[in-house]
Amino acid sequence: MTSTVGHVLTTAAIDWATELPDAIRVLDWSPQGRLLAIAANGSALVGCADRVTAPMTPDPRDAVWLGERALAVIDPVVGVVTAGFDHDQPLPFWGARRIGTHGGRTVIAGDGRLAALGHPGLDVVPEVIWTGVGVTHACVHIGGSMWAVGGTGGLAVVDVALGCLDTRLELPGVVAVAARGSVGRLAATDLAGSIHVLELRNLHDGVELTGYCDPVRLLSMSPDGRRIVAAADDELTTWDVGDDGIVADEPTAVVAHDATITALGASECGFLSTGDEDGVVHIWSPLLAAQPVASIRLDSEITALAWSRDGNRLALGAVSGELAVADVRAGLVA
Amino acid sequence: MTVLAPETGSTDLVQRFAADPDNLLIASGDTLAAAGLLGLLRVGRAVVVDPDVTSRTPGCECCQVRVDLIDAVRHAVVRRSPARRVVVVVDRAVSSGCDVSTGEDPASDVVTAVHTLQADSEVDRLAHLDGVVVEIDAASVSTRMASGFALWSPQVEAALAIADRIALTGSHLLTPSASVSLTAALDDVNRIGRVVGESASGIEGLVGLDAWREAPLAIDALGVGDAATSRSVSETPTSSRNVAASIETVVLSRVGILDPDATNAWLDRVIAESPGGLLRLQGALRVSTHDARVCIWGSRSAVRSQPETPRSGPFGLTRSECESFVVVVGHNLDRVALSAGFESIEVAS
Repeated sequence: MTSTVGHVLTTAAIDWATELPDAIRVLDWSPQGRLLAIAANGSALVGCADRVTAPMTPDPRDAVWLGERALAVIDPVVGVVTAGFDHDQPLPFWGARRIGTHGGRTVIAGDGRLAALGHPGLDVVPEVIWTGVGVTHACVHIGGSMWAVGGTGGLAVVDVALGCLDTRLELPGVVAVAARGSVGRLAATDLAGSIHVLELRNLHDGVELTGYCDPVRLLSMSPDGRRIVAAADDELTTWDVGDDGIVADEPTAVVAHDATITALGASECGFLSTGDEDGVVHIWSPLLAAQPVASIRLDSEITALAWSRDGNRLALGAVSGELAVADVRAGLVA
Repeated sequence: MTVLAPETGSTDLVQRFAADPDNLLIASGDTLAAAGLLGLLRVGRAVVVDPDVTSRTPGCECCQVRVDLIDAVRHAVVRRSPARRVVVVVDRAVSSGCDVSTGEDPASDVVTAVHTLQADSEVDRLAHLDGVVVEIDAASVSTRMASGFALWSPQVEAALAIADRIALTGSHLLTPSASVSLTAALDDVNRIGRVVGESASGIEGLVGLDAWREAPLAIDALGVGDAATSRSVSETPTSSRNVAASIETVVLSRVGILDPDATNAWLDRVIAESPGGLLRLQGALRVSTHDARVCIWGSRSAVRSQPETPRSGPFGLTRSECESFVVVVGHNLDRVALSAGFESIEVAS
């Protein structure tokens, strides 16, 4: 997608659609643009619409591509279930909630622990690091070998190369985390309804953004780290952050949907997608904050949204199991 | 959603709930294992939780929520064909988080679970609390009563106080006088719910209660459902009974169309003045902004509301269009102040 002066004529058209046996829980794109979709009953769509597996696990919570030919699904009871490797036995990990991969390492977080594994091919005995954050709700890569893990006990920054906990902040129950390692910035929401904006060089000196009645579960940060977007109820709020890390006093707020926003996805090109409980998906341009530049509708509540790495394709999942992939073309006219 | 608090070590009630294919259980792994129900996980009829309590405001006990429940309810309900009913099992077993001096453990606290289900907007969007069922072993309580011991821990007492149904097991083992004493003790603690014996083998009478989002039907049993009763009425535990309960139930009623702002201000004061002690708040308020009465319900610091749905309840209440009721269950309630405050709400002009 090319950078333009405006995105008013952006189009989003569904390329293909299919239906999985249960609500879509997780969507992930491989580096080369293969789609992974996990349904609530554990079934997985791998690569294309006609390739749906039997249930891999009874209660999948997160999933990720490990390269182009392997994938991992995690379940709080079963642990880590992989496909595409020689061994097919689950790797036990009680309470596993989040999985991520970067730079040849795969991390699994949950229940106050973070396990670091090499890939391709999962180690039989992973290196386990205690995070101390209790039940884990968020795990994101924040640059180099550093990962941020958020949970009931607060926020922890872990160095998986050294195998140790770097920093831990006591926040009242971290719900969501967004980070941009390239600019050294991290944002975390807590149960009290605050957003904490932290600079990675000094995590103990952050800014707390308030004004939300309920915990913010949908959070994203623009690729340049200068916009933090939170979705709460039917509203999108955008906080501008200066080069010096100073956050604007007031956010820009827009009533984005007619119903509660239930999913949020940010592309590497700056586009944002939001989905609501009525099945409406809006696409938002960073250049036009007041109104969506394109919209799509599915038949039921949107449960997951994911942009391909090149930002040209958007995968949409709904509670009915409906799964669609839309081609998104940025408009050229301001 | 039904919150079920089984007796320690008892699996019968959990198994009865699990036998209904309309139910999905949210329970700890230990509970499911003890009841022989781990297989429900594989077929998507159970979700395992590990109690995870934290406070939305650091250090504030009344803001404690069980984060694991929020997560579990979301995953249980956001399904293509969700279960008709979600049963949240709150174990009474003492965990490592138990305060040895008081016997209180937020992880096994029914009030914390109920507060969580009402305080979280996401859970409120996805499902609503139907009723609270607490199981009591009649023989065990009767033995403690005869021995002069405390009948139950403060935490169990709080659970009983807000229960919509108290499932009594082993009551056939009691003598008639012991049975009367036990019933009296339960009456002292709970003035809203109903005691259910063990004759039924299923879960009839324990589900489909819709006891939290509507006006409290059992209010009639307290003798204030008559439209002619226009004064505030307070109910206190009777001291002549075997047990002096430490939890009070205050029932307020009045006639007149209330000013909404003044009503909100009074509710705010009630919550602010007794946040930790407020176990259950429920009522139906006639305010000038709505044609129907507005039902309110909540616990601790969480209160929700919605317009009343017209219906005829099992108690056959006669509901005057201008009657407002509020039932407050809690610790250390200032009955006089509550009554005076309710009476002082301005009538809409």
